Amino acid sequence: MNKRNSVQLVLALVLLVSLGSGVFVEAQVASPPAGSTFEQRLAQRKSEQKISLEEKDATRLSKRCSNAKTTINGLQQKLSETVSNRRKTYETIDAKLWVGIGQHKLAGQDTFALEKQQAIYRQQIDKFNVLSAEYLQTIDDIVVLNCQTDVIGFKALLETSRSYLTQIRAHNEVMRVHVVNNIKPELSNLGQKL
Amino acid sequence: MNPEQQNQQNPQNQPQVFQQGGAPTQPQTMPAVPPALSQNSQQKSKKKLFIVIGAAVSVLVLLLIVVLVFSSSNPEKGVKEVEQTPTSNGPVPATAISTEQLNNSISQDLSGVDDETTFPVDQLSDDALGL
Repeated sequence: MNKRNSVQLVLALVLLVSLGSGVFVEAQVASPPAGSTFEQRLAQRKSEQKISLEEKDATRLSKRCSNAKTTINGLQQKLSETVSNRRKTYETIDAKLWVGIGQHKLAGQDTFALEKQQAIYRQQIDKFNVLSAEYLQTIDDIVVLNCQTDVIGFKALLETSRSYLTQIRAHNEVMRVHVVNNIKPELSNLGQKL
Repeated sequence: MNPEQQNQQNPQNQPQVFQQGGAPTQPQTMPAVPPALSQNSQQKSKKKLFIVIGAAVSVLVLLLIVVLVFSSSNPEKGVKEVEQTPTSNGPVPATAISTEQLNNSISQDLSGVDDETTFPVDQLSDDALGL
């Protein structure tokens, strides 16, 4: 086997491995338009997720989806309070930053850097509010849906909610890192100059 | 009993015994103050004493109130308190200590944020939902 053939073989193997490992590209979920109905949101999620199920998978899912909906129903009841508490925590930190900025201004310090960090944090809070609202909405839609007659719709909404959960977790970590690595050091820096 | 025997039995009618010179047995002393009069004057003096003590206590209490009111409205003392804690007049200039406290407060808020409890990664997994 000559060199050219061996290179081609290696490339083919790499391609096969990458395809065979089931690399999954998460479907991009978009915010539904404001005021959209349940049917509109369901149609949007179906087109985003492009779910296709084999008959045996569809049958299995239709048998088990009712129990899953019961679990999701319980989650829905706790989730709104959870999200509300988290929003309150983020808003409290933001309010404290505002007060701190005012106090440092009164002390005659340049607070431009801290204000910039606070502005970024404010945008992060707004994004969290959007993500958590859409997560809650998707969960509500799952609870409303008749999963046994629309298994594809159930699967699409479930995948959408999983996507939002992943995004929320990632975003929370980004916010935490921003506060710890940017805001708190800037506050300490200002405090040391007093 | 005849009247003479009755008189003899009545001690009030007993004859007084006098010493030579006819002086009575009682010694010569200051004329005694009638008991009713002395009790009255004692009560009056006690009353006066109570009034004086009461007036003195009232004056002291009033002085204390004035001192307390004056000291609480003293502007020099108020400035120090303002530096330590914010007043209803608005935010106060930051200090090194207040900045550290703010930083610690934010850390405390952040420590209560736990995604493993509120948004666990397997919240919607197939296992969790029985799918």
